[in-house]
Amino acid sequence: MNNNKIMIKMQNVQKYYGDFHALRDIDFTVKEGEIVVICGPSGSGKSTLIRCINALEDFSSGSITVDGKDLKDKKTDIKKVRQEAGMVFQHFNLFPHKTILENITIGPVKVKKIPKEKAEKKARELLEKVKIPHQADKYPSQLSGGQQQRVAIARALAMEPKIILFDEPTSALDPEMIGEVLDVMKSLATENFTIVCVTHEMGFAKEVANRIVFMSDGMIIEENNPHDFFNNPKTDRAKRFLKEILT
Amino acid sequence: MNEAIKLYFEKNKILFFILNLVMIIALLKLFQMLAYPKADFKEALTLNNIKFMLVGMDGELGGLALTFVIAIISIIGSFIFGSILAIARFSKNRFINTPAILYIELFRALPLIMVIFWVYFAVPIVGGALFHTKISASALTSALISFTLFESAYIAEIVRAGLKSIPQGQFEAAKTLGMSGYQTFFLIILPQAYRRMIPAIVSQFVSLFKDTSLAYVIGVIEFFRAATIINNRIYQSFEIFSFVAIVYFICSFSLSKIAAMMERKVQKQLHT
Repeated sequence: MNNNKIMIKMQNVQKYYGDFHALRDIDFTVKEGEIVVICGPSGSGKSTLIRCINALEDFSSGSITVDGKDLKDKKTDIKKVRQEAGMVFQHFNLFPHKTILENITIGPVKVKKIPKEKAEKKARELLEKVKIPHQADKYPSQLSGGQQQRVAIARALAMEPKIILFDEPTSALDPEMIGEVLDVMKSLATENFTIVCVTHEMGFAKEVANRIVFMSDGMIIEENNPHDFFNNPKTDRAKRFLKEILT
Repeated sequence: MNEAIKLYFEKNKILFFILNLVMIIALLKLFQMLAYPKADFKEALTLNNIKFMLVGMDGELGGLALTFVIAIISIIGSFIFGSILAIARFSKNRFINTPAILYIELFRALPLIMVIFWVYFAVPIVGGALFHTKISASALTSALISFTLFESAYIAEIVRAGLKSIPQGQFEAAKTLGMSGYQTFFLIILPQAYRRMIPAIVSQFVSLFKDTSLAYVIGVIEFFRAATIINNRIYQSFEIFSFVAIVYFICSFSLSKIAAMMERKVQKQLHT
């Protein structure tokens, strides 16, 4: 975390859905190894922002650079960028027709052309890491939500990304399963991943984030370290949000 | 109680199938004996006649067996062609999707019997005009072509519905792993769509199975025509067509049951 290499750089990014201005003047930088939590009321553009980083969403103007690669540059291979920026979704999006092991190995085997045995060995290690080593041959529908989300994390890790994007990873989970997913995410925070996480889990934000980004109405309203953000937010909008979410 | 009967039925399907067939034939026999005065009576459901209706003449495939062969070949053909049509229709390129849409809409707007006649009579004429040689297709080939062309339009719509039913998240998850559009489609989307489609395809097969009886108009000796041949010879219409109805029912009903069973299995796996 001591180096200052910039992993994600968004400059003056604008995004419209028809007439709706979804992202306004976004300037946002994430350094290597940094853990950034994005929060804000629903509809504030958090998910849109994070989905722009791996080009799941197009943006109207401005520039986004991921690990030195300009997304708008025609020469940039978006598929390569996506391999470096793994994503974990709110609704897991595991492949229901594949076993857990296949879900994890399909990326490395089919995209990175890693030999199957090697990929499977790695997959089993990852399952160990996310604490579900015995479910490898089951199908996603046989697992609980929390387990599925941990498989989704393992699937993202299997591609050996530099960046991991979490898009509300715990929002679709039953309360008793949130903890197990957050624990895995916390363990990732101690490794040298660059993490951008959209979440309402303020406990997680307080504990592991280096920086909190607060968004509202498509704009970044406030950026601060967790301590200052939670104890004396600079803007009224953030104060109101924190009051609502913490009570 | 009801559940117990169902379970028993599930476990002994084939046994019930045979038992039903035997019981029905016995009932028909009984009816025959009561209904017809001895003098007029000609045996309709003799072993030979039944054999002719079920498997055709010696050395030549016909009857119910041919019905199954036609249905199976046509469904496989239309599954392949229908999939290609559906994928073409799914394409965003107008030059690829427009012909597919036209084809599908055209064939869904035509009666099957017309397609059968058209293929049978038009193929030699059109083929002759195009290639300046005499092209003739046998009745059976014409029937197979007709069924495949016709069913493909319906299968294409089933495949398309299957493709559309795959949630957006699956595309996104595949993209996020760095997959190409081609990999996403053939590794992630299409296999799931096929699994979801199995029940619809089986019911389409059941409907095709019944529709093969239309091949009788161009002289294919499948089950239905075999029955009419026997009837033309001995005029015991009631027994013959009762037998035909019952056999069609048993086959179609069993296939539908199998489809329902598969559906439950598929639902279980895909429901996340």
